[in-house]
Amino acid sequence: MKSVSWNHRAAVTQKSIDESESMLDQIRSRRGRRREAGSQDESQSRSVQHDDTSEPDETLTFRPSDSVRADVTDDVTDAAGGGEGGPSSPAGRLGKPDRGGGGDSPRAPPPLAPRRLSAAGQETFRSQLKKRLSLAEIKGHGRAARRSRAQPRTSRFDTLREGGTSRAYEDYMRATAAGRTGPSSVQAYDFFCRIWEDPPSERRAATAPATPREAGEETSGAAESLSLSELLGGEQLGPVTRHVAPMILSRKAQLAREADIYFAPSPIPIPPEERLPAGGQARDPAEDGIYVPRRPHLAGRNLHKLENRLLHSSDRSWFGEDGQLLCLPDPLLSRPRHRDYRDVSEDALTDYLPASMEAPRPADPEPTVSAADQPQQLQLHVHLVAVRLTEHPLFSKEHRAAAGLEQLHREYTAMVDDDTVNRLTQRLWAVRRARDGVLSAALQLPSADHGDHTADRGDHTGDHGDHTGDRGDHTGDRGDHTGDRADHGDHTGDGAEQVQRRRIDDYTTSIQRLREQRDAAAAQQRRLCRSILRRWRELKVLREDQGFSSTPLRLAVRELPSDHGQETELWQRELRAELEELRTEHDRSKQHQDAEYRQQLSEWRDRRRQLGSDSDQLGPRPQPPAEFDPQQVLADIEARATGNRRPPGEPKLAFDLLDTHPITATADCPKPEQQRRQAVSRCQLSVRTLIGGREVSHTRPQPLSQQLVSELHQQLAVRLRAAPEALQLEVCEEGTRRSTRTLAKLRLPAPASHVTERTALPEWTAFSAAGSGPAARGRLQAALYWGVDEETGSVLAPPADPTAEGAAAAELAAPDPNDPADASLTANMPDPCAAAEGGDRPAPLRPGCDGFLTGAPDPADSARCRLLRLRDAGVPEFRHVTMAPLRDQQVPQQLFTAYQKRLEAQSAAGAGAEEAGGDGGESARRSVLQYQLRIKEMVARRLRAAQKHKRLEDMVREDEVPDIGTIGSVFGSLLSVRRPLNPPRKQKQSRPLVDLQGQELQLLCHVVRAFNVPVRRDTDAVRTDYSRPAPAAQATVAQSSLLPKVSVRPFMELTFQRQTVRSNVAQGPNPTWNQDLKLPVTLPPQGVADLHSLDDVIHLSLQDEVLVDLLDDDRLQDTNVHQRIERRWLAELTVPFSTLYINGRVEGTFRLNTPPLLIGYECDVTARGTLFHLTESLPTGQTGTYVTVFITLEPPVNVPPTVQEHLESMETEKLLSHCELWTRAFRRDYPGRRVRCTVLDVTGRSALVCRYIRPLRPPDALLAACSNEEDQALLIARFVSLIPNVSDVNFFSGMYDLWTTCQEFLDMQAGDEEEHAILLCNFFLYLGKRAYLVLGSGIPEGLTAYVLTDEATNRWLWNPCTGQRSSAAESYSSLLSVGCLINAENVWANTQVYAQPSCISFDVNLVGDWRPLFTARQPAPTEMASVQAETLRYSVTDTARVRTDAERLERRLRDHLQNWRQRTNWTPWNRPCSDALRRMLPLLERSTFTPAISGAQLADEQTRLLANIHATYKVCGVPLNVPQHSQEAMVEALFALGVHRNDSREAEFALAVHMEPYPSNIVAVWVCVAALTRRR
Amino acid sequence: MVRGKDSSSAEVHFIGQIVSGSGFSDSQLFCRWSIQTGGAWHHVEGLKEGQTHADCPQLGQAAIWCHPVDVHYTIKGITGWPKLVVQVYSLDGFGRFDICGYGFCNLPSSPGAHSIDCVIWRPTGSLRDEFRQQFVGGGPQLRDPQLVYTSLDRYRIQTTAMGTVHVQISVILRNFARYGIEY
Repeated sequence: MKSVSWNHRAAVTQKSIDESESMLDQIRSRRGRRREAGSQDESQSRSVQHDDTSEPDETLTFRPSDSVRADVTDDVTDAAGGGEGGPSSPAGRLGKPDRGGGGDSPRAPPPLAPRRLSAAGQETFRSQLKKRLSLAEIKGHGRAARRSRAQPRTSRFDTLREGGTSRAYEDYMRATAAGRTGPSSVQAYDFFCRIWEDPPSERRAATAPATPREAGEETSGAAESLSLSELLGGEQLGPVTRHVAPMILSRKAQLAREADIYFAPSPIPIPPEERLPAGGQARDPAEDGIYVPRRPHLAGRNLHKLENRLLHSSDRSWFGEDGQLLCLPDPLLSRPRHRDYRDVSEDALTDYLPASMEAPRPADPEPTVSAADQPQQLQLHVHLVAVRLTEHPLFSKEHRAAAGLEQLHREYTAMVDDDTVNRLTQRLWAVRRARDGVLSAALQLPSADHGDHTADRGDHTGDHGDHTGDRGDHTGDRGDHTGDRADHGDHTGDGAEQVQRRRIDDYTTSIQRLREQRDAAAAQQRRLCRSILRRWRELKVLREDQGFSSTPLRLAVRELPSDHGQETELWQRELRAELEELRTEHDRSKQHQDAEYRQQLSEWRDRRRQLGSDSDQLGPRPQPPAEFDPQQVLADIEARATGNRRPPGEPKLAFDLLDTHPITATADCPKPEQQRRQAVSRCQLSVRTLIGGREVSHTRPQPLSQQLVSELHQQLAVRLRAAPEALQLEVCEEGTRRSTRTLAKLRLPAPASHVTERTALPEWTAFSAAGSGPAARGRLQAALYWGVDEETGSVLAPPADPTAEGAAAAELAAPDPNDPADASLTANMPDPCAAAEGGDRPAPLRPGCDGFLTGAPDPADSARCRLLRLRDAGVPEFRHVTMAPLRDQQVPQQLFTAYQKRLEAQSAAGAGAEEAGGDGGESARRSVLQYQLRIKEMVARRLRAAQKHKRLEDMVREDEVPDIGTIGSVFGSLLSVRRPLNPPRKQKQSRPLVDLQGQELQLLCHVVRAFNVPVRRDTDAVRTDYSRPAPAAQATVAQSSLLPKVSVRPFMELTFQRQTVRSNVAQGPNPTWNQDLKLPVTLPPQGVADLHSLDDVIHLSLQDEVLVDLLDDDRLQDTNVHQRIERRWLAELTVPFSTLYINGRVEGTFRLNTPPLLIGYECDVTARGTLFHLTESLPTGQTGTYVTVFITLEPPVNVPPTVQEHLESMETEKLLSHCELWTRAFRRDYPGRRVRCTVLDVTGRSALVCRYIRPLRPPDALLAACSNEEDQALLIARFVSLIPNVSDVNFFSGMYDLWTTCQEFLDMQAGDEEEHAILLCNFFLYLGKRAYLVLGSGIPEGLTAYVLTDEATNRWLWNPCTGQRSSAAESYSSLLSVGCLINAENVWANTQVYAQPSCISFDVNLVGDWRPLFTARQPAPTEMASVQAETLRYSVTDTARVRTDAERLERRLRDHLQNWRQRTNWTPWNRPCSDALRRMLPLLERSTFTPAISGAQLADEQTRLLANIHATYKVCGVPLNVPQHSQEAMVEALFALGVHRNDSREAEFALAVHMEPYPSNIVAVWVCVAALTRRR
Repeated sequence: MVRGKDSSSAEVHFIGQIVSGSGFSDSQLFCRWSIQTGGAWHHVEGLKEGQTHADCPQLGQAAIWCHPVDVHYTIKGITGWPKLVVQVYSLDGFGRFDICGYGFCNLPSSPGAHSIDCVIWRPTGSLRDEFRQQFVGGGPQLRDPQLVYTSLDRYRIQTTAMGTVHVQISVILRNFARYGIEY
């Protein structure tokens, strides 16, 4: 029985394990191990087969888990042990610890006795087995197998061979199944220790269940053969796992299985109805004007899937009112915020600039680094198309009517085009529909939960009912208010309903508003329609009345087709809808009115109660509010609609304005109309364009057509530097009398920066006349656009203003004002509300004007700031102000007065020279001076920045480090030949200007000697000195024998800036002084830096010292000496300070300027040659006095270099570079020779020198004066020399060599040697001479220009500043070296060994001698336009004015002379002498250009003129000839003469001024001053 | 202090020097500077912009300029308080110059002596530019140097830190109290 039960049990177990295994397989197959079903079956069968071969059927079930098997065995043992229970038994000992951990059990040595299981033990075993099996069911097959290896809790059987184990187990099972008797001790031993032989035969027959008996026998029979070593150390380990193939299902089966588990939403869109709540209606909030943010983009397929899934879970809360999924706005920006790294190079913000040698330009007024920093180049095009007048005095009645009609038609067309009425109507209907939708929704919604509410309310009332008893006295009240409370509960209890009600209210009001708007618009349109028709009728009547027509306007009225039935329907619908609305409005207001009525009624009743029924104060009984009367209201509506809108029956009209009406010919018109038309045809319109208040263009006047339209069609392009805000246009009417009247002004805003010619459209802009004057109105058609750069294609427009752009975008896209994304745009838009409210908001503050200093004085007003600013600007009057006062009151006002005066003078001079014409020649001269000043300032401004260039030497003083060369030269100098009597001049180290700050600058003049000094002619004067009375007769003889007769006692006097220093007195006509004269230089107020602007002149005068014996008493002569020293001016040398400054020194033997006639002196020709060998070098026949001087500055001053700026040029780049190369090459080969190829003109542009040479016609007066060609040349040279000579250096206040054109030179009446030379050269060319401009260096002026004329007889060198000529071959010339020759075609540089004009050949064709700039290889530019004007303008000199000027000058000089003679206090004037002198002066002038008049003739003439005076007076006088520069210069020259220093009491003076007028306001000024001493 | 009755406006005087530049990879540096103000500021005297000499330090890495700054303004309002805008250039071994960086700093508004550090950056070019800059010289420069001190488009620039320019500025305010400005 037991065995049966056991078997049964085992079968049960087997079944359960089978189940578990199939389940595992299932899981495995689900994991996706897919195999063919067939192979799986095969493998299963194979494994079964294998098992079959090895084991009996029952044991197969135990195969899945070895551990299970082992455990089972283990437990069986335990159970057996437990069942036996003998503590003394070793088997029991073995069994006990085995439960805890079998790890040590293998160590337990046998006596292992086979045991028997008791019944209790069997029970325990069964329960254990069951437990373990269930465990096996749970655990995975493979995992369990693995764990059996890893776990320490493995039984000793684990180490046994599998076969053995299973066999032993089988035996045991059999034994247990067999017997009621437990296993014997041998059996027990065998059970553990015996190695059983394989019973192959039995195995084969294992399918049949073995009998317990057999099993028991086998067990006992094999017990001895199992050795312990095998038991413990058996190494033959078989595979403990097995591969189980996955269960693989077919796809179909798989899907079928998955279909139960998964839900796959379909990608097919769901109809919107399903997405809405049941019965709901889709509502588009965007249609209702509610802001709907942009949805994020989602692929439709995904979206539909999502929707399907949501709907599948029947969750409709995810969907909005519009049936769309609720979602947040798209969080993505359309543009990336940060650029990609690779994008940087394409970024317009940076430019890759290669490194360059040129340093960035130093701080200029405008710091420019890149091209972008340059002021923007803008080009604005204005296309003025037409002007059409709509109102004007020239309008006839008909025109006015036509213009009115046109205006009306325009308005009407605009309205029709805009479709205002239709639009408003449609909007009205949309809102109505929306309201209806909400209403219907509201009706449905409460129907669901209304019941709840009522139930609630029922509860409430129930509650109230409970309380009734407590508050019996309030019952009545409560009864009254029940309804109210119910209402109240409704409101508070249901928020949604309230929202809906509010929405309905909103809709209602907006409908009302829209209706009003629509009605207004419709009425307007209808009114326009009517007025058009009326106006047209009027026009027709007018034309008929006046009998002619002058406008071509015609109105064509068309009837548009309309569907009567549909219109009627619409009309009715509209009426109905309006009626309904009015009804609801009435209802709503009625509630309120009712309440009011009730209250009034109760009040009235109270009053009646108090006052009695028939009191006067009672007032009428309040009337209940009127009931709604649909009939009445409908009638009202219809009446209103008919008035405003087109009723259905009425025809629909369209108007076309045509220009086809015939215009009556002018001849057929009545007279007034003819006159009017004539006036119209005379009238012309023009448009003036102003940008920034400055007129940029004035169109040609265009005639007005009879239709009062002026077709302008003019285009205009303006280059701008800054974008204008707006363009101002002025429509002008060109009257008949050449007068222009501005009709109207209008402003056009500048176009947006993207508008170009392609995109610009001409637009009409209306204008109306401003101010007084006849009314004129009209429209102007114009297009504004920006130009396009042809090269780059870029639009020459200002960069777009982001705010403007925003505004534009706002206009374009019509952004939603509710949309927060558009907030930046809407912020820029004008707020219509604010405008409507009257703009009571605070105006936004303008940037840069925060009003913190409102009321602060303008800084320009503050005298101190003004002073500081002017000083900073370098205004000459303020440049020297070193200490500016801290307070305004302390600023001396006189500082500004001089400045103001100058400004006024400048502006006056700018107003025009003719204005000053009435004030004589001096004023004309002043205007010239002003012109000079202006040019000076302009040039100075232009070059101020360039002046700041400093050389390294200016900043760094570096002593030379001695090297071998310098040391050698030092030692060499020790050994060199010494010539103490011929000392060489040592070159001094010049120092930069900055070093001179605070030091005294001195003018140093070393006077060496002079020769050919005029000697006294008046013997009487000589006798004054030495004619002593008779007693000293021997002495006289002795004196005369010892010394040559003392003919003159000359000394040199240096005058500079009114300071004077003189040398010692030497004797005779050829004196030697060898003396240093020093004078301090008074620096200009601005300091050393402005030294170049010092325009003082160094006067070096040669004077004769005369001793006058004052002893009256001859007896005292032995004992007393009483003499007076007088000085007589003989000759002078004037050197402009600038010459000295530029050249550093002036050195050489110079010819002194001697007057053509010295009264009382003569050049002792005979004396010459006898005394000094030096005179041998003088050319024979050359008269004049010479002096050898050396002038320099102490300490030496570094002259700033000429700034070589690459300025704008009128020459080509190629030519310029050629000139540069040529010049550089020549300078390298021949340093020190002067050569110029290009020079700057007044505007600062450089030009080729050849352009300055052009034959120019001299003034006709000069040509007519002489018939002889040579005389003409001399006269012309005289004329040129009379133009004052002003050095470039102090004229152009810088180191620039500017060449003015001849016209400018004549206008300015100032220029340096170059200008003189050019003018002279050009005149000579006109005379037909071969003339060249010679650049070289001469004395005393340093770098200079001469003119060379190549004549048949001789080559002459002309000094243009003195007008004197000398033969080119003459050895003694003031021109020291010749650098180059220039004529109109070419420039030739001197490449000969010598540079002295006497040593060189002037044949420019000799290639070896002269190097031309332009050769055959490098030809001159083909057409070389001259910078000179074709003819010169010569102003006519007013001779009368010259005469008055002469008188004025004479008076002035006289006053000055008297002033200078303050000491003596008495200056008698000798009139006869003055007159005689005055008569003599014209002769002197003539002698300058007439070689025929020689000195002897002059002397004779003088003697003749002054014969009478000579009889009574000793006369000593000087005629002074100065080119008229200014009167101040004349005064200075007079002062330098020193005539006023005559201290003699008896001295009388004579002064005569003569002015010889030449053309073009050029005047030769002669001043003759003489001192007379009465003869005794 | 005696307050005169003169109606002079508020004045600001900046006196100081651009001392040095440090932290640059090059040491031969010069610096161009300018002072940018708002519309309410009227320049009275002094240079608003300039350029220092190029300093080639023999000792240390900082280029010392000690370039004087002396500007005088009268003002109508304190908006647009001046900024010192600086461009640093470096000279390389061939005597060429290229831009080393830009920077600006606000000039101090409280009277007294201040020392300011103006941080310099330069725009980064593309990879190609960086290579070119490394080997050939030159470098990306701002097309519009106004970008340095206007914040409008600056966010678009990618920059690299370069160094620091040290500035010492003394501020003298005048007549500010009259307009109720406390400092």
